[in-house]
Amino acid sequence: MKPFARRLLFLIIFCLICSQCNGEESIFFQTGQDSSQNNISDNQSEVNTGVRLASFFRDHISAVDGDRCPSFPSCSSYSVEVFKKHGFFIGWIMTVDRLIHEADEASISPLVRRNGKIKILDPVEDNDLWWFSINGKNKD
Amino acid sequence: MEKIKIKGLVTLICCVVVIFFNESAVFPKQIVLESNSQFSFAREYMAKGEYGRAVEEFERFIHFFPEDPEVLRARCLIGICYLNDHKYDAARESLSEIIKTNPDSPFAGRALLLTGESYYQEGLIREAEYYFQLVMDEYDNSDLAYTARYRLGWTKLKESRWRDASSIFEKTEYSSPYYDSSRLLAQECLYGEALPYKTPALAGSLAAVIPGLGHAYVSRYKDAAVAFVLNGLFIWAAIESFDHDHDVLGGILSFLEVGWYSGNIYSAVNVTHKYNRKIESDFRRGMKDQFDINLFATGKGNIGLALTYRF
Repeated sequence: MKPFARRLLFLIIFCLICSQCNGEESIFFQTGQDSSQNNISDNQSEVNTGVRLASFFRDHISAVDGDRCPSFPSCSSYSVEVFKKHGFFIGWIMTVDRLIHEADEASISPLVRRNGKIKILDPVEDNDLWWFSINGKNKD
Repeated sequence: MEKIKIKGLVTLICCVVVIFFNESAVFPKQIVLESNSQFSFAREYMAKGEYGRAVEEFERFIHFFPEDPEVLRARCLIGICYLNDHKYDAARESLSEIIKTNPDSPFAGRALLLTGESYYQEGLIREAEYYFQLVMDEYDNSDLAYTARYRLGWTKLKESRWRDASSIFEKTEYSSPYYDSSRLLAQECLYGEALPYKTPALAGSLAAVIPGLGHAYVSRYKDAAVAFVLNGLFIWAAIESFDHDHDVLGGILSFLEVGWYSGNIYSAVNVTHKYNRKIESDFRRGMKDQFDINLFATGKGNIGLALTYRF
């Protein structure tokens, strides 16, 4: 077994590399609060690795694999949206949150019909409402 | 021969007469548009719920009869149509026209109240409160002021400020058409203070100690199992990788586990907030809102009262 310090150092370097792969504007945190109320710039999304990865999954893997997500928007669309809205780090965490809380969501969120299927309505706004609001807008 | 000539002449005259009276280019058909019928036509579309078409017809009415005394009502109805269609900005634009051009007319007060209602429906509570307060200040002891007070109480309810809402409803005047409803709401909304809320911070802490425990705290057991299994698997896989000297694999798995672990904590806090919102929303749904915007569309001039249930 190798020393713990070496592993920790490796992990830190790995995390740093991943955080920097966002491009010239590495956005670990992008709360969007100061981005003039929901004006999510397309330029920011262009350098967002998360958006690229999630878009790739949605457009090339999920399209072939089939739509099995019980929620609306689908998890990959949700992920693209959340990466655009909140940047890489928060986007990643909220994507994980979506994947974890999918199983019991029908007990809380409303059901809608989309493309002939019943889906659980679970948009990004319902999952960041408690810390992120636009113009003090409070959706009920 | 002469008979044939006469017959031919008669036939020719008949043809000319028929063509002459049927030729629209010569005598185009005209429609006489009366203001009342145009207004009723627009109202019919509104009653049918075809709000887009109703707006068009009301605008046609305003265009052709700009001096008609019903123009302000038409503008007000356009605002209501937009509100019913959830086009809040357009509604406010139409209503602000009334306030700007005829600030002293009885419709200006309605327009103010409906502007507040548009913000209320859109979820912009502060703006809604401002307009309702404005109506209460400017139209004291009138049906408008009573309605504004009632809506102000509902804005507090929407913000889950139960005690504030109760005190507003309690101050409702006896002469208000909302008096009975307000007295009942004043009592009911105080129960909101005893709703069985869960603590998001506690859920997050539990999730940090054992992944999934935060979800179990709000009775989301499937989510709890998913969080526990995913985190457990990634931690186990990362440890095994490091133990077998696969540092790169171990690093990747650890990096991914950081995401699963953080996501698990975020998720626990998030679902607890959702849980709290759900019990608040269910609680509010149990209360009866007697305000009906469509009563502003009545031609009687007064604000009526209706019983509406929200399902």
